[in-house]
Amino acid sequence: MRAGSLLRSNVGLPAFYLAIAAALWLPGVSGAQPAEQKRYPWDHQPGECFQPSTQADDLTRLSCAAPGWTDFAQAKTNFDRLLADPDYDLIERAANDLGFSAERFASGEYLFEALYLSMVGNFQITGVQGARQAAEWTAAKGGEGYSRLAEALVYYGQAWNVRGSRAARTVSPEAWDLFYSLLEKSDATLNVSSEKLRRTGPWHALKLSIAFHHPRYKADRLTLLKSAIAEWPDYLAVYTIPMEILHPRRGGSFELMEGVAQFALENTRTKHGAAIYALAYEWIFRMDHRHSIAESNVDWPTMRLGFRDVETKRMVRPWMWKNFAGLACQVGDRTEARRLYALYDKSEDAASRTDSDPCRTYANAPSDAKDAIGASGARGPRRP
Amino acid sequence: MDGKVIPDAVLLNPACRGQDWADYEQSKSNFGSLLVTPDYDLIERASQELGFSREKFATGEYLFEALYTTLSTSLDFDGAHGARFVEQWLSAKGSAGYAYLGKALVQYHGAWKARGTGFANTVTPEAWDAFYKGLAEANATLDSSSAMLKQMGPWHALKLAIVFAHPKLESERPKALQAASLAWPDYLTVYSIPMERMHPRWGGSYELMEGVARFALDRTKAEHGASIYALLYERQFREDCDCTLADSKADWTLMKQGFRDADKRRALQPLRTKRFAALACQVRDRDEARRLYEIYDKVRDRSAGEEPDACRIFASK
Repeated sequence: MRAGSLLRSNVGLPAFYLAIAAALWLPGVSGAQPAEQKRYPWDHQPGECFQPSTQADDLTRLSCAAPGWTDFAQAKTNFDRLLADPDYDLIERAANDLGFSAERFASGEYLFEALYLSMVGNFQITGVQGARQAAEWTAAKGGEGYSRLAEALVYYGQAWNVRGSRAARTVSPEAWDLFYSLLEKSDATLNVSSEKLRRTGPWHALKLSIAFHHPRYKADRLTLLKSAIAEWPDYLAVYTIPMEILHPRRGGSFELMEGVAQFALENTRTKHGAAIYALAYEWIFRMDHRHSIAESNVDWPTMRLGFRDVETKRMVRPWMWKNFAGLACQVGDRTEARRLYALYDKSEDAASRTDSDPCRTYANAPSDAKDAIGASGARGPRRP
Repeated sequence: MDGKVIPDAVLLNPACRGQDWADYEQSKSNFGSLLVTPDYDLIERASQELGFSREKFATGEYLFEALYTTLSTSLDFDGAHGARFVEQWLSAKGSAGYAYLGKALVQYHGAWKARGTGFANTVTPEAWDAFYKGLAEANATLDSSSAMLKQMGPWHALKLAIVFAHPKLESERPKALQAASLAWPDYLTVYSIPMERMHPRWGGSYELMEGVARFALDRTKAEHGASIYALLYERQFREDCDCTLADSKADWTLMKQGFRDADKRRALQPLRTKRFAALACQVRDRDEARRLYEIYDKVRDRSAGEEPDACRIFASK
């Protein structure tokens, strides 16, 4: 790794230290690296940023920090792009930059979340091609880094491909056997991964996903959850994985889901207020086609507090205000929906809003207008 | 209605036809690539060639299915951008052709976006209002489209999708189904739309679904044997529905006949054969599953590798 890209990850250090570090060309930073670095495909910095350094131009080179990891969506897209045309030197470097960082994007997510989301898309759900690419990555760069997680994701994806996402009663005995066997392979792959990988958020996330889906690991679940929380107390997936599995459609209940959400709240309140509580419920109901949040055991005053904490701590991407407003519509809280739309309208995403958004119609209606389903408790037939 | 139409003499001249539309999947991909950076001359030409053709691909789909699937998916995904694209297409090429169907598709998908795809209990009153309003607009657009467009399969498909989704149009459903099945008796979508709406998850029943499948069988038996019956059920149970074919009222003997008829009348497709095998596994017919895997293994691309497959394990026992 060249100095520029290493220093980029140390954004919390004072600027003068960065300058000195670069000027001294710290041993182990530049010295262990090849003289010329490959460029990321999106890196259009001037050529001198890629030449062997001299002390004279080191200070100039401070502006050579490689772009790519400043925004969550862009970082994910960039990593996707690397996997689309694999160069395992670049893939390994990018995975290390993102995956072993404890830094966050301005929108609150850890850098490793962009990597993990991209890896899920490219290894968990791409079948044979993903399996081939994971094996090639390990062969090219050894198994110390994220290639092991890629291999584990391949097995995990195969397991779900076999089981399908239908109700348990529709799954054949052969499919159950194969599902569990592949989950075990995924777990075994995680277990033989490097120490440094085992400390990362994505490792914990996948470990939890496996344990909460395989009855064999039932006794380990709480230990694994505690261990994940100890390492990454404000990593949302640590809570949303068990919450999703405790959903009523999987045989759980809204009481159990709320239990996990309250657990998240306890673990994160000091630093984040109720933000994680609100973000966790938003994540759960974002893709829930069967239930509205009005049916859950959510504590709505805590949710509203959470929206404000998200706002204060800037832990949000603009479109999320609209999702939060959607939840407010579901519970029939017109005032809160209106407030959240006002936040959304101030954001850069607002340009893409459509006038036909029925939640906005509800939010802007006079206060004595009919309430949404959450407030009235009305239930329509199960057909359009 | 002032769109310029390529004369039939040109469209029907084999010498003037390239290899752009030789294969269903490739045609979808080709038409999709035109939508990325729109050139309305090319889009109009392609939509005329595909959309007003009565020809089929070797795999059995009509040429217009490649156009309609791609256009619908793209406009569903693109939202506001899709609406702008259609406006520009209409402005460039007039409303006699598929640009006008695009307008109805934008309204139709807008309606579903407002409603959401969740169960009825998750839909707010405002969302229902917006949904019905959007469907009514799409329906009005279809009704005012050109006579030429009204003859085509995609027009009928969208008409059926609208009338089977809007309760106020319930009385129009039999008429729309009759008209569509007379115009395009072997266009699978004509039956799969009502069949899907008759599914228990939409408040229907397996008996009603079987009724639609039998209607399709009657309409197509002479030319296609039971293949349309089998393909319809395959399409219904391909999607996740917390159900299997074993829950349905499908006649399994007829289904097996349908698999054979489909293979006789359409070019063999590895994916279709594997999906048929999956149905055999759902009803636990090991012999039929094994037979289908044997066909599949003859036609699949072995170099592509294969995912772990529980149905194959069942078939091989």
